[in-house]
Amino acid sequence: MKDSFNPSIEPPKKTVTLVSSDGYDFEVEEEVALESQVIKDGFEDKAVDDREYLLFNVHSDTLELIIKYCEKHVSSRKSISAAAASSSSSNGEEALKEWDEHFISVDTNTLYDILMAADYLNIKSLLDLAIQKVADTIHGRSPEQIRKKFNIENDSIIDPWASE
Amino acid sequence: MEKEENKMVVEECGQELFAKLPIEVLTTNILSRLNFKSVAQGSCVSKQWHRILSDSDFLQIQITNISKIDSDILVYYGTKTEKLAYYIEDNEQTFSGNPIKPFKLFDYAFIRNSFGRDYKILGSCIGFLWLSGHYNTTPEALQSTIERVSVFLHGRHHWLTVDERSLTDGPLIVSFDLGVEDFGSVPTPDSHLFKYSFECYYVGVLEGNLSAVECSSESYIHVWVMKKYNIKESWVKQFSIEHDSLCRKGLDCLYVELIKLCTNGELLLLCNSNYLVSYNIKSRKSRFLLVEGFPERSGCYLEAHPLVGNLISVKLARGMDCGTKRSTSEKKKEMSLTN
Repeated sequence: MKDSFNPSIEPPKKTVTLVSSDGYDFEVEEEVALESQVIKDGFEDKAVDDREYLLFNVHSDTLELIIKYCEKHVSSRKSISAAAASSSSSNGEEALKEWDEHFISVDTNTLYDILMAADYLNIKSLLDLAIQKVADTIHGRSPEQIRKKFNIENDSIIDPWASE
Repeated sequence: MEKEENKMVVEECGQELFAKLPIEVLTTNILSRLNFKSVAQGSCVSKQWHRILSDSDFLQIQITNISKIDSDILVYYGTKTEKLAYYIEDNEQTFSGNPIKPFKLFDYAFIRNSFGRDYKILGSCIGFLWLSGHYNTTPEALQSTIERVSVFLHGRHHWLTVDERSLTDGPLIVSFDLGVEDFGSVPTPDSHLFKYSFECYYVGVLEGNLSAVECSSESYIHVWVMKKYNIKESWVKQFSIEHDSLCRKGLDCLYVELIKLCTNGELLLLCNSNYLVSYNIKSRKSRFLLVEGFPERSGCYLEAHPLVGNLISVKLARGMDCGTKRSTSEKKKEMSLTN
């Protein structure tokens, strides 16, 4: 779980508490939580001391991954724009792409959890990443291989014994 | 009853991602990113997949996602008597062999019957070939522009041409926005860098960026890339290819078109509008590719375009939002007109 420890040199950052479906608290920086469109919508209306979100559909294992993804994207967006401001060349975007690729290389179950959580929290870039990953997995496989990979029941063969 | 129990077991084992997905949103979204071959195979997977893939709504979603599908290659070959179009799948398997095995799409008679004699393939966009209908009736001012193959990027077609009114004959990149149906221009690098006449350049798309191949020097062919769209300063000379490595049978290689960066990591180049070369940037080695069914002659004319094969009919695609900007009301109006 994430530590809520803040080094004293930096001013304390505004945080939001996310509660997973199995009851764990995750304290994250406000801008990290705002990566989720669901949290962003109506965020301003919520009282500052009441910024706690119960995520009934997201297990702590998945939430940890989602937070990791959002933190990475917030921080690299900052470094990319900082590099652009100082007009120094950076391969930040390419590095992030590589990071994404590595991040999403998970087993089917985890991929499913990420997909559902990204959909539930409405994190567009992550949802897109996960969807593309599944599509890439299907690509180039035969119907039989697809069924095996995703454990889909073969119900497409017409039963020759079925009465008309 | 037995079937029901089976289903329960399957669901419990947890590997089956699709059984649990909300169909409308996610499964459709995933399947709409498959190329046409995978769509055809996918419809044999299960009844559910078949139902999704044959739905007309699915095709509409697919067309908006088509830019996310990796393109294959259409090769168009012609002599004075014969014209053929072949489709080459871009995967490692295809390019590991030589000659490459393509599949034949249509022959000249088909195009002639459908579009008349004067058509020309200008390029491809959002999964369709871009043809000019009556090439001979094109205004003269545009003919030299349309002579060149166009590349499609960010909802716009791009050509290289020359501004005849200006004194310098440096190249100019003209764009045509399909959404607003208007011409524009894209900056080229500074004239002292991009100094040769426009005949020495060919535009292409490399990893989602506009690129230009420069064939002016005798020893090297330079590939330029515009890292950020429409920003003049972002043009960089990405790499250079030894000119000699592209010369075939002792003949000079005068024109090089960059077709695409293939999934095997090699660049597919079309040289002299006559033969295909697969070039490895890292090892700096080139392979001359033969296509099965193509006569190997110096007189024949070859064109190659990146193309996303799909099963969407032109009728369905008409007036639809294809990633270009268009207001919904406008779209609806057009849809009702076509129906």
